[in-house]
Amino acid sequence: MKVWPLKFREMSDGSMLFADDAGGFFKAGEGFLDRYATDNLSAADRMFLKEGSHGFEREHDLPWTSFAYRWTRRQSRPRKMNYVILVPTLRCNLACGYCQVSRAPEKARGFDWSDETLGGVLSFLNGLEGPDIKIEFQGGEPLLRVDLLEAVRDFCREKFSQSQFVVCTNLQRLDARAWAFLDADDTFISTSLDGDRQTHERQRTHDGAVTDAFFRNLGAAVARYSEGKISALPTVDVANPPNFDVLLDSYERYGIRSVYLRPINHQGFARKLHQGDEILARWNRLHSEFIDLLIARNHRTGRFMEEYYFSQCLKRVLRFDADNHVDIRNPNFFAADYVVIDHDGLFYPTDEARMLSRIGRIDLSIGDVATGIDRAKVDVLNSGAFNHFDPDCIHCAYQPFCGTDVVDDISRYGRVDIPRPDTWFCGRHLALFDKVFEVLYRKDEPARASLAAWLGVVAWDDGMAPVHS
Amino acid sequence: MAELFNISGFDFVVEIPPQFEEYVDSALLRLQVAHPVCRLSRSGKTITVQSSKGLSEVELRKAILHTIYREKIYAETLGMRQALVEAVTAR
Amino acid sequence: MIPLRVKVEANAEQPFVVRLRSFEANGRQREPEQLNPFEVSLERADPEGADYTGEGGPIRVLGIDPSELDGDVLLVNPRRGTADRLIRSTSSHNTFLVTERCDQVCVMCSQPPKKHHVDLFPYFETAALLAPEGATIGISGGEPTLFKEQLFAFLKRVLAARPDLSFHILTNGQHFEEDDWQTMAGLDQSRIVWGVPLYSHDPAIHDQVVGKPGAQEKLLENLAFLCRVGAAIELRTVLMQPNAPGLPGLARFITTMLPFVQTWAIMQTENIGYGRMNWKTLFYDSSQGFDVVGRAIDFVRSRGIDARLYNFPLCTVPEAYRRLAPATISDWKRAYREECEGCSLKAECGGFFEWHPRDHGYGRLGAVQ
Repeated sequence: MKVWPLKFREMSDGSMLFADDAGGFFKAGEGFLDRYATDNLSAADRMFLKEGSHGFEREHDLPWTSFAYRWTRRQSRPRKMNYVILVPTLRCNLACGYCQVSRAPEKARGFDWSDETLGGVLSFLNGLEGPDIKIEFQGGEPLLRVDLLEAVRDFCREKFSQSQFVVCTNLQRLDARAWAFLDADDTFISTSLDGDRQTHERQRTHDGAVTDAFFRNLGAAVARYSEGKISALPTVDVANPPNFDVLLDSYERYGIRSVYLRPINHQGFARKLHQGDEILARWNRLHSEFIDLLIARNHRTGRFMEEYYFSQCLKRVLRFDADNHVDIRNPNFFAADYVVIDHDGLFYPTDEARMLSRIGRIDLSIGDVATGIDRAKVDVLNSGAFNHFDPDCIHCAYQPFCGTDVVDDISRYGRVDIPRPDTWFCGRHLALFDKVFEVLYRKDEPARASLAAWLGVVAWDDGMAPVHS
Repeated sequence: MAELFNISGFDFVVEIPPQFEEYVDSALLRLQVAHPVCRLSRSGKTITVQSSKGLSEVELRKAILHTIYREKIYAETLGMRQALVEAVTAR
Repeated sequence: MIPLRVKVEANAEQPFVVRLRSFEANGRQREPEQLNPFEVSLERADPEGADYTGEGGPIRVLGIDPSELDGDVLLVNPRRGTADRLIRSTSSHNTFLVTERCDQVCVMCSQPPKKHHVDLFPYFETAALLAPEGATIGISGGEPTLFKEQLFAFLKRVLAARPDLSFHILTNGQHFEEDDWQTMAGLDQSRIVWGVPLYSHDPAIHDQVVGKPGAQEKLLENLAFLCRVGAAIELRTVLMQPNAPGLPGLARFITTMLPFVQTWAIMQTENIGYGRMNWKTLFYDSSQGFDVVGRAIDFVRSRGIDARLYNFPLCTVPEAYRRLAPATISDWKRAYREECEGCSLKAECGGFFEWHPRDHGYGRLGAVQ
């Protein structure tokens, strides 16, 4: 039997986690590692590896076919463009502390789409194949230009047989026209809710009356719409995080069960590397505590909530088809199925790329609506968009589940060839997958209950996470 | 299989079993990147570790062993990986 | 029960395929040009029978209300005085029985094999081309791939002539070969689902169930072939006493060895054919022992592989799994019982097999409030 290469990583309890390139994993002791590395596999080892489809006899036999299939399905294939992030205005009626780089004051001029730009955007959308489209309106505050949102939506509904719209709004000010826009069944709301009221005010609204307005509108929206229409995410200051219990209560009160915990993302080369390390360690610890708290809370209340990105990573471990989240998939080709169009009509590969370019250090724009997407520039970015043969990733047990973030590397280090273990992305994901496997092998009732809920199965049992003794 | 004995303070020597010899050089390179404060050198069938600052003997021994393992696994299975990619991308 | 065979009178010598039309029902005048050569239209109906005329006929159908037959495609056997309703226009459960021969003898077979074979492919081809728009046609037996060349030729021609049709083909997967690669890869596999049974990951148990030594080994080889050729596979496991305990093991096997299946369908047994003969030793009462089934389903679904429960009445399935139990019992053999009176799930439930026994059947069933 030929055994596929196994990658290994030590787990916190001293055992080793093994994984092959197709994402087949198991836990075993150091004894197995020694036997494997010294070509001394026992009969029991071989039987275990055979049953787990970690090896094969002949190319094209069933185990080979199964492995090749799973490996292939894990590759994220470039699809038709069907997701476009639009920034019709950079102007905003809030001044959130962590957003200074991407907004313009409400009364400023020159930060909205011109008529030409709107025309260019519609022309670009018109060139898409369809049949489906998802449009995400970002900003600034998109609702400051409902007229532009309406123009885009009307066009898309006409052209595409299936369209969906998401408005990323701060919910500060909603007039009748804004409510009317949001009322549509094909339109969804994404907002920011930074935990408890205090934190939200400190980080975003700064003023009691402004905070009141937000919560009033949020409450009104939740009362007006059914569950699933509104999603929200908290931005967390690592140095001053909110009370997580209160955050979860808050979200649950507003009918939102999925919480995508994100740290304040300080853009720019001003971040020093060691400062980055310290913040990374603190963030990882915070996130781990959040997951523990979440598992305990879910079990206590019987009402299940999730941390969105953790659930994504969990699915990426267990399944071979979990590549619908643009932040984590492998390869992560740019300008394939989604693209960003800025207030000035420029294309960007991601929203982070747009924000990075705005602070002026590097221009990651990839064309404009008048002249089209610059494929040569996209190709350059794409050269770093996968991890399969990276000299560090190739040895990593998490490689099949993980990905790359070219833009984040550029933003922090000015280059994309920093050894993986020294990057924020790697440090972040090592911790995340460590946590995923810790929970998968925890073997207690609360963990099992949350795993079942997050995976959409009725029950999880310990036998579903393989162990080789 | 790998013997450790102190020469002076934290310094120690790791013996390389014959089947791993060809992978030691590339392993050492990776180890230097991962542990820049440690001084590692090879002489024939042994690796000498001088100044293993920041890491315990056990940790560094494991790191060395595991890195050598990884180099061996990588080299011996590269052909399998190439064959797989060829097979699934063939027209 | 819905009759699949009707009595007819026809003056022909040989069997023939015909499609029945009725224009009066829609108040339209019959135009001769509207019919195609295989069609007949309803002229007159009386309490005993209905008369149809046209290029495809004439034919008189007895003992059934003609409104039930409108649009149906029949295979008429004039000498026997019967016609088989190959395609019922208002049903989604139309299956062509390609042969009654089989090279396996499954312990629960609902259609026990016979040695006699009649080649009906030409009739099936004509009938398929007359099927309603967008129909899915079942292909079954016996074992259809015993006549592999004809089957492939049939599929190739029909799929080309009718791009709207799709097929669901039941096969034991024993007869595929590498030489079939070109042919199989040349078919539009996106319009075919291959329903292939696997009873256990343990070859001894599988081989015993199908009554053929070495069957599982051959099957696994051919499942790999089907994957490589891009076929959509519905893996089917009939749940029985011999294989129920091994279900979680089979689930694990599917996740490691058969991750490419489109669906894993766990199916309840039919009390007909060999199933009826062996009922007492075969029937697994999942209404009281669902645990092994639930665990198996959860395992594969945790890996992102689709799993369904076929032919399970909803009252016998724990609530959390009911959404995985579509109504699958073919309309012509489906029945509800007196215990179903007042059940809130009746509309979504596929009911019971017509022949599910009063005794020795499910211990726990009945209306769900």
